[in-house]
Amino acid sequence: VNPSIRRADDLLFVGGCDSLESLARAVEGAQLLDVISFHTDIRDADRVLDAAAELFGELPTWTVLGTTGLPQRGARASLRAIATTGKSPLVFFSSSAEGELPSDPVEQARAAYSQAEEAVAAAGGTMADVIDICSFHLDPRGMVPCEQMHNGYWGNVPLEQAPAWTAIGAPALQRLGQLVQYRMIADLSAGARIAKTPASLHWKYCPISGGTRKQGGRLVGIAGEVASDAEGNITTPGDTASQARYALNRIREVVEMHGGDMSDVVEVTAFHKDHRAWEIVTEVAREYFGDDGPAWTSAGMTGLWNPGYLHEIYALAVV
Amino acid sequence: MSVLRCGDLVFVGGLECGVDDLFPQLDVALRGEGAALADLVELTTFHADVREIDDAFAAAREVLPEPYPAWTPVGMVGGEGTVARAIAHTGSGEKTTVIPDTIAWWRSRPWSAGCRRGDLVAVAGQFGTDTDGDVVMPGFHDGQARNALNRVKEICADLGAGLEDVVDLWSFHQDPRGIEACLDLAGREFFTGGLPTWTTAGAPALYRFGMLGQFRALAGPITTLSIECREMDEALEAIAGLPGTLAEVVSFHKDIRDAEQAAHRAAGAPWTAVCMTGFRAEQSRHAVHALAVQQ
Repeated sequence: VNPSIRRADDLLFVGGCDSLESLARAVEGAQLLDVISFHTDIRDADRVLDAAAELFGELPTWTVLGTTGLPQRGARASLRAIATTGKSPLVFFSSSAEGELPSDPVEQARAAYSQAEEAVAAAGGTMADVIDICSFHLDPRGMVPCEQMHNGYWGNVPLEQAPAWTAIGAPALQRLGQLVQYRMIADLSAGARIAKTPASLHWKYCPISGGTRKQGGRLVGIAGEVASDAEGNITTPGDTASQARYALNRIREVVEMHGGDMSDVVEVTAFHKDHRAWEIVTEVAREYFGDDGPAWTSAGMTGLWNPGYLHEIYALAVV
Repeated sequence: MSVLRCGDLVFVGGLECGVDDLFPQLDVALRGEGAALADLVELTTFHADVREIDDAFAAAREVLPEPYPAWTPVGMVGGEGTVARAIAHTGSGEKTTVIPDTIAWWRSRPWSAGCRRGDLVAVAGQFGTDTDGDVVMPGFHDGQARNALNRVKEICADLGAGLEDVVDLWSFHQDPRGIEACLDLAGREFFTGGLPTWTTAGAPALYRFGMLGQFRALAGPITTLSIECREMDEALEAIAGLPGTLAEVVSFHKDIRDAEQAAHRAAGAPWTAVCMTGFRAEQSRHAVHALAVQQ
């Protein structure tokens, strides 16, 4: 399967890679910054990381996740990545579960945040540079207390400057006993965060944006869009195509508020409640992107924020 | 894989293979205990990718004799190919099977919705579908559960049993957060005198796109227990206290590495360990089912 590749200035976005070799070919001549690998069997992950270390030398920021299913039958892994041919102001962070792991997901989330603070500081930034947060939870119910933690942590930040957040249930994380995995993008470009949040998004009462970039930056992290109206009701229960259309319409709203359009969307990671949805959703996406779309990765996941969501579509745009 | 005979019943558990090897291996296992594929009353297959279920049906058509067992195919997390467990009945008497008109779409596949031999009644995992196989109440766990549990009731009745005879129930849910609503509905509308032993697990996917729940039931001279826990020791302790002859353990785990360990410590009765997406309680890491035969 050919990966989908999208370039924006000196950034390279790669989606849906089915092997390390095809990823290596896709990013040849560029520096790999960030990888998320989805595994149908998490026990494969260590071997994949060992092989990647051999192939790439030093590993980039790497997030290992389980998936409930991939588009291709028999596929055991899918990789998506960001690479650069220049000197990127972007800092990628992925938490690591170390030592004795507490059984409380919030304690694990706090530990991940502490690691993030250190990592971003080491790169010369602060948490005020974080534009985009993704979190993965071994049990979808674990997202709820982590949201309370999120709201507390970012409580002093006005919505106009809040980061984007995408929370997803995953069937497996890297370590046994691990309950949460965080991955963040910080942009060290000048200025404050600029967040845009359409009125159509029900989470506008929390410090979670629809999409966020830095004043001097061009990368917009767009929160995983879902089929819920401004009140949080499911718009079209059980309707795969309509829910995808609704989510893509919200992505369009966010990108347009940032002064761009759908052609600026460079990467999509589509999380599906049932992996078989990928075919319908990519067909719907053609209505928005034509044949020259963003780098695209589809993965089946255990649970999304609301049990009735069939997809959560996470996107990055360069405006 | 291991096999155990308890009287007329033969239990097979922990069979792991590709779909093409499923029935040849089951056949060998059953023959070792003097049973045959024709004696199968109940079969559960767990699939790393539910898109393989139709392949399993195709393989079954080649070798599985009619009347077909009550077959519950369900998705699991990780692993390779298929994991299976089965119960065969070698006693005298006809094997009776049923597929009611309400789910006529089942008839084009090599499975029965319900299967009985002697006192053992097995109802294959029922979904919320109409007679053509279209999913009812898209997006609603409880609406689909009502339809499915009505099918369980109907199939039990067709086989001369009632919901009050059900001693063991498994339900698989496409989202673990759908479990509670289904159990509420089951207690309110179907099992008003109290739920039978009931094991619930989140499944990554069910047979057809849009299916949210699958409900499988067993009635007969058996004793079952179901426990959700954080530590496997709790489950092992409970199993040790089960009266009768332990005939089978099926353990569901939230992490496949736990499933692997559980499979290794299996001893005595056939043990089937699979990874699922979650259980009734968020904190539970395991949901364990055990079945003993009354002697």
